[in-house]
Amino acid sequence: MAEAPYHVSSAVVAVLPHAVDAVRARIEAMAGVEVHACENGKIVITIEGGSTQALGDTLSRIALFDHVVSANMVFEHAEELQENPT
Amino acid sequence: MTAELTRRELIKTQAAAIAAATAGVALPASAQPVPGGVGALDIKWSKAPCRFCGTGCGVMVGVKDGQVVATHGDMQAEVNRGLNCVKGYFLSKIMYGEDRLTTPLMRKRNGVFDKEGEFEPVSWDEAFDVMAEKCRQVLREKGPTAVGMFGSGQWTIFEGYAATKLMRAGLRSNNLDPNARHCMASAATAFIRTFGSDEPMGCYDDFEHADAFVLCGSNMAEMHPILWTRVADRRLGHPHVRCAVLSTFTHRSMDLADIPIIFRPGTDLAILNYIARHIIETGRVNEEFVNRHTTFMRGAVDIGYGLRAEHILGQEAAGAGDPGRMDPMTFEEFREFVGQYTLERTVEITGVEPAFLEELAELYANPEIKVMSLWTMGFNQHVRGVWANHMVYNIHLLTGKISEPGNSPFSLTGQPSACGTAREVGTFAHRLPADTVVTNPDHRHHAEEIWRIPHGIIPEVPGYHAVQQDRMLKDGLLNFYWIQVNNNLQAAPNNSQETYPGYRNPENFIVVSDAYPTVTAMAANLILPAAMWVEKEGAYGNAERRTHVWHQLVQAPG
Ligand code: SF4
Repeated sequence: MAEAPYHVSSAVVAVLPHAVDAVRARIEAMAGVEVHACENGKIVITIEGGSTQALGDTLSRIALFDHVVSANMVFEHAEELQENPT
Repeated sequence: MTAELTRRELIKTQAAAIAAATAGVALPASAQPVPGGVGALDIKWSKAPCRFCGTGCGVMVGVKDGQVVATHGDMQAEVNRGLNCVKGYFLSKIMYGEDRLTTPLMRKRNGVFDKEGEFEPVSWDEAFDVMAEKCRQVLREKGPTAVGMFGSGQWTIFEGYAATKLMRAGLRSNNLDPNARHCMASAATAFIRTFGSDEPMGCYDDFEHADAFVLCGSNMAEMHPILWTRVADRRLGHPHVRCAVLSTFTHRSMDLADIPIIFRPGTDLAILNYIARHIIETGRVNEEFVNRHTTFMRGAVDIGYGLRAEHILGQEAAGAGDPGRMDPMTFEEFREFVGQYTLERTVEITGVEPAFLEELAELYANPEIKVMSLWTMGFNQHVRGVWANHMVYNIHLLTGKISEPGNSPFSLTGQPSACGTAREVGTFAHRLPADTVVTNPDHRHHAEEIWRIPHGIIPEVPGYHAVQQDRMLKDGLLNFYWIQVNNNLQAAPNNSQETYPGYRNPENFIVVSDAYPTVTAMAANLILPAAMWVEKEGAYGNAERRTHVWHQLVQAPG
């Protein structure tokens, strides 16, 4: 039975007001990252991948984008997913 | 759609929903969490504080089949309101590394302990037997001053308390110090000297009341990201709010700075004295407050660098013999002293734009502005860290901007329980619980009563502090040594000259308790595996003195 580590996390990215659209576009172009909502300079995203390290790296990269004030994790979940649900 | 995909979608939707709620953002209807979906994930959720820094974020910890599989920021936690910083990713990961220690390891040769031998797995009984024998031998031959323990601001409160009791009441030794000595000692000393009590008077709610933030020697954007988010929300949500950032180099926190100040290394003390002068010379001293609540003292100068007594830099420093000396002075004398730091002179010393210095000084001088000063290791690990801390308090006290919502000098801690454990519980070489000290007979008496031990048990002479411990290990005066919850061979000053030779000194028996084989553990004679975070019950005290208690949620491996 196939087991693959599956990691998902969500985060809130706070952006300087004038740069929201540009930052959003940059985030949307990243693999494994989805934008779910965007309001008042806050972008809600999920990040998926094969390891915690990969997720952490992705969020750290976003944190270093120009005009990003903060990129904070909210939720993270890791498990070996099986074909059959438990 | 396969079952796996359904579960994935479910988890992802939940992740997005929690993040949206935290940010106060509405999700499109298509992304609403599935009703009953969370329950279907079979995860048991409990609360714990994050273990990674002094901010003390509340975390929801999700356990499934005896493992931590998920975490998210606790939306009801006052500190972080649902957010965690990027380090939050590692809360569960750090517990499940492949090289996690699960059994005691002792250096052995031919089946018996040998400091020059290789590590071999041993039973707990064997580990404790050898440890007890070594400890007893040292006590018998050299007495209590030859045994010591080095702890940490990552100890839980209970562990720190047990350590201070074991060392002082059990082994009758004050040779107990935490790694917080390397970081918070200057903050603690300045607190005691200024206020007679150690720890900040403000709290995180000050963030939402302040009109100005001044960061000195702190890159909060990267090092305290959750608190920085609160600063940023305040700054961006209220146009009148100002943010000043003082540093020797440009860093991420500068992005939000209205007053960015890059000064020449070591010249920040001149800036602080200039601000004091500006307050006085523009007639903005809060006289009522100053008269009622303050006295003026002159500190010793030329105090050396805390090196070994025979070091040339100490020999040359006239004040090194009594670095903590203070003599009374008058307000007029203080005024004259800071009077040297005119704007012109300060610009010359620091290399900072005069207009920025004036704007900065006005944040403090203007009685209408509520100001929060925030600092970390730029001050606390300063060559004159105690002075730097004192000088921030000087400007807050001159203006009475202290202990009011939004008016708050705030020393931020780095470790999760530097306040709660290292300081409050009294794990320093000279301290007893709750800001009492071993040098005071009444304090000793009180502790002896609480611990129900005969009077006279707790020694009155302070033990070796962290740096001195390493020197004494090297010199062979400290011979039984237990290191817990820290990696001192990465962190200690003058490591290769003092610390490492101290650990390897053939006369010494070194025990390290840790969850992983750190360089410090690998230099030990005996390694004891440790349970971490929610593998045990515990409590931490964060930078605003908030105490978080948690239950054991999973079993430690091994
Ligand atoms: S800011 Fe500190 S306490 Fe909060 S999640 Fe990050 S490391 Fe943990």
